[in-house]
Amino acid sequence: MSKKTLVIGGGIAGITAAQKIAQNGGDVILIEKEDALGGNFAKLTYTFPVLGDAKALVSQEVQKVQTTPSIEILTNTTLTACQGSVGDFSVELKTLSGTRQEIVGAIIVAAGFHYMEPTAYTEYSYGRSPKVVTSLEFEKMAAENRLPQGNVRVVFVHCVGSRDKAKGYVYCSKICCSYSAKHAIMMKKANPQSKSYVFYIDIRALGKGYEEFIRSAMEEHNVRYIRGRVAKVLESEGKLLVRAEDSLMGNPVEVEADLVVLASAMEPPVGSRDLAAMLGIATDEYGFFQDVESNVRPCHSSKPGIFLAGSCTQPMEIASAVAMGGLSASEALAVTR
Amino acid sequence: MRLRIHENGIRTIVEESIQKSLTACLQCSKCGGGCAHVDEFDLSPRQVIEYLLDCLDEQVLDSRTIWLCGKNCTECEVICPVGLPLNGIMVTLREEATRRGVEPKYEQPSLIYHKFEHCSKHRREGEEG
Ligand SMILES: Cc1cc2nc3c(=O)[nH]c(=O)nc-3n(C[C@H](O)[C@H](O)[C@H](O)COP(=O)(O)OP(=O)(O)OC[C@H]3O[C@@H](n4cnc5c(N)ncnc54)[C@H](O)[C@@H]3O)c2cc1C
Ligand code: SF4
Ligand code: SF4
Ligand code: SF4
Repeated sequence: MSKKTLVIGGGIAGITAAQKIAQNGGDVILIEKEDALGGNFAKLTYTFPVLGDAKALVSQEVQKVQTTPSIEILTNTTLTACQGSVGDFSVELKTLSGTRQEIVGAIIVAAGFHYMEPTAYTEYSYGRSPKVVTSLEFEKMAAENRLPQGNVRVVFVHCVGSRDKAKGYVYCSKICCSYSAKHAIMMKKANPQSKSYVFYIDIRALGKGYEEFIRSAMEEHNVRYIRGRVAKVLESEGKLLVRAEDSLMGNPVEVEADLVVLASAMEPPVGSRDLAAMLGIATDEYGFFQDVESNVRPCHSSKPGIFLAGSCTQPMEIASAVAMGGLSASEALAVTR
Repeated sequence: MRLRIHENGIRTIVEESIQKSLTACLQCSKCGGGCAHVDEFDLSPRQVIEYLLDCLDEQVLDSRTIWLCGKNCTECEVICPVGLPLNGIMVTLREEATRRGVEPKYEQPSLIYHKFEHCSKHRREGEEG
């Protein structure tokens, strides 16, 4: 029986899992397909619900795994084959310097999420106007000090690609209500002259302090929340015109804007079905990795010895990805020692 | 005015005609936000659905909206996140209103719709308008 665990994905879920295994005396091979660790967390500027410094938080965690001798980190690496069963999986890894065979006792899949490119939303002028961006692009703009200056209006659009059977996914992406509030607050802080609008269907604030955080956007930062899904974003003469129905009045409204931010859907990671097939585990109807039982075994894949962590199972915030990372670590330790 | 909610109404006829349940509606109001005729409506398309769901048939059949919804318009259907055919719903509602002897209400726009419905000579004109 091998005492090693293979962790696939170096985002916060995978990093946490690796750390916890190492802390408890286990050995880890952590593979990441990109050239750096951190995943999507590393693309953020601030975190809700307390506006934590994302870059500082994530680099602290990355550093911890980098300085732990029992964690071997392989970047630019993917899994290319997997055989065997719990306690004795033989895996083939493709690294920059060639392929490599390893025997591991357990595997943790922490492949994260992909952010949907809302190209199907022609009604929102995405891809046509440079002033219509996704929330992930907004994070980048904020990090690079490129948020609009002066007397500007910014409109945040909820549920783009989520809760949309026709052009996206039926599911709710769970955290866009919270990060859109974060973005509206960030906008106000970066440019106190700006005015922000959020168009929502319902507000889903699913975590400790989230409701208070979103209320603070409205009450302390003067962000205007309008209930109604945006129908259209038109561009003319350098300005954007956002059209919706204020459903609390049942009346059509429009607002001129300088920037429109689309809260797009968190979707399964690219190639999740292929990875699942290689591992012999199940995915759900969307391609997220499927647990065997979501109440008490959220980390168990359909195959013994292979565990799941983080947003490769469903859209989730950092805190939940960390919790799942820890849980999957203890499950992996239980079968490798 | 307080409205009495109940369970039996033209909702069933509407759902049969579009072969979909109105419960699919996400109550998001995207439909009304993009509609070119909504300025002339008394009920937004989303409100029509809400009334239908609670079987408040009179409010719907007496509305101007069902008559002023654009001929063969698919503007809201193509952006609706569940693809509800609002236009088809309005056709059924007009038929039902007519069957019950409700007077059509074309107050605001031209009479093109009226002509279109009653005289084939104006069909082309109606479509272009
Ligand atoms: C716009 C936006 C704002 C957000 N703001 C917040 C916030 O303020 N607060 C908060 O709590 N959360 C926020 N989130 C959510 C946060 O980004 C996620 O909760 C977090 O990134 C999930 O971590 P993860 O490890 O599960 O996945 P990821 O961060 O996606 O990491 C997965 C890693 O796995 C790697 N990988 C994928 N497939 C493979 C493979 N086959 N082989 C090897 N490696 C692979 C990827 O390259 C990636 O590095 C936000 C998300 C978005 C989109
Ligand atoms: S979290 Fe909010 S914005 Fe995101 S899909 Fe759910 S309801 Fe829409
Ligand atoms: S756009 Fe579709 S789902 Fe949304 S309120 Fe209108 S009919 Fe309902
Ligand atoms: S179908 Fe009717 S309600 Fe829908 S956009 Fe056209 S005119 Fe408006």
